[in-house]
Amino acid sequence: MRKFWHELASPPHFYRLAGRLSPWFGWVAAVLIVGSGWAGLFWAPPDYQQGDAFRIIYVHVPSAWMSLFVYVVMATAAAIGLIWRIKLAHAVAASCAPLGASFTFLALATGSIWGKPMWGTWWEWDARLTSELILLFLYAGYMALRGSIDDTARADRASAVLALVGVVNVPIIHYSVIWWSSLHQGPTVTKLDAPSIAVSMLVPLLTMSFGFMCYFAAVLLARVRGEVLERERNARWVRQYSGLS
Amino acid sequence: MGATIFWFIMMLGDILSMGDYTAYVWSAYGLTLLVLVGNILLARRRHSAARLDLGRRLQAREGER
Amino acid sequence: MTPRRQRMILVGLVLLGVGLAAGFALRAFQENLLYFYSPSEVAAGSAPAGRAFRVGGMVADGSVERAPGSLEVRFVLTDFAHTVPVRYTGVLPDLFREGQGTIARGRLSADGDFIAEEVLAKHDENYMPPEVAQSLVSPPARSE
Repeated sequence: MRKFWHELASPPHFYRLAGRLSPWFGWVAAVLIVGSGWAGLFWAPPDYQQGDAFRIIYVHVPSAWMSLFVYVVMATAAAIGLIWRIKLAHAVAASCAPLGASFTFLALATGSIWGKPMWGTWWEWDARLTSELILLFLYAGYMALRGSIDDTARADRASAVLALVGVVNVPIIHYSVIWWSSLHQGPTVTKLDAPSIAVSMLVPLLTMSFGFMCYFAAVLLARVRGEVLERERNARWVRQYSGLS
Repeated sequence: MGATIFWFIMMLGDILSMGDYTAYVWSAYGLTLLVLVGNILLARRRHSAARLDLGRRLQAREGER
Repeated sequence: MTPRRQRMILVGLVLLGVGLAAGFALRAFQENLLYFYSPSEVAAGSAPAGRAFRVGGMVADGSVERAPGSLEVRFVLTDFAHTVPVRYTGVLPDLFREGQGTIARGRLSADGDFIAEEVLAKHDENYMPPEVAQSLVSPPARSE
């Protein structure tokens, strides 16, 4: 077990492993996302109140879930990097940020597109929407902080602290619709009693979410490879592996 | 021929129609696709940029020798 | 104590500190984070007078009256304990209907009516196909 973690944390090993795994995740993600997209648009029945506008949830909800999930991955990687001084963990955290930011942007934008016809407004400063916007700022701040520090080791440490501090926002986003009266509706799928969504509507949502998860894995691994190559540009394995020397 | 194309476009419009919300639904899906594909391209560019930079460095080092 | 252990504790303390700070801050701002008042709170007089605020409740059944030839509409918001009569002129969201959770932003007039500048429909967390919703309202007639 110890050996497994040790190997995983070694850049050349991870670089090779990520290169092998990424396409697999990518293809699974492509099949799932295209299939679920088709099912969400044409196979699932329209909602009794929202009609076809409800189909937007198939891109909105997975994006919103991923925006939180990616942040947790980023903060965990940052904590591991801080505590165990593993450079690879910092590379993973750094690679998470732009992906998490894009999921957050999608959640906000598609939610807005849904909100205009349904709620009657593009944007409201309610607890859920505001805390999700703060998440976008956290990702942006994380990336800006990294960009402003030239020394990689210092950038790693400073941005990891920011990632850790920001993790407090994750439960706030999740519980915002329960703690405060908000315009945004409460949770459907994760509430403790049975989900209040028809099965034919739920299935594409779950497969789409799984597809987003695989997509994240594929793109994250690809990003980490680029990040590792740049960080390790002076290491011997890079010269050997790249076949450039 | 013209009638067939016309009929085909009508059918397509029928299939893609989302009632009153066609523009909203398709713009949400389109935006999502755009961002997902964009992320892949950015990740690829990052990797190839790192490789390119590496190649230049190694060449420079060869030159010194 | 190893340095690693120290760092672990430090990370734990940072998380704990930020969590506590956020908890206290949110508790302090609870009032400001309240997105809307219920009709009961309005009836009890705890809603701000003289400035705009939001009222949220259900549109009472049979209360929607539209003035013919204009966008003016009157309806009653209820939380099944108290009610607030609302007047509004403008376009209503697609989800607006009787029995729907709705939020109106505006101010109370002297005669007790709530003059809304904006009306938003609040969606609940239930999703179902039209046939299912239909069967919930009227159970399908039994064939003898």
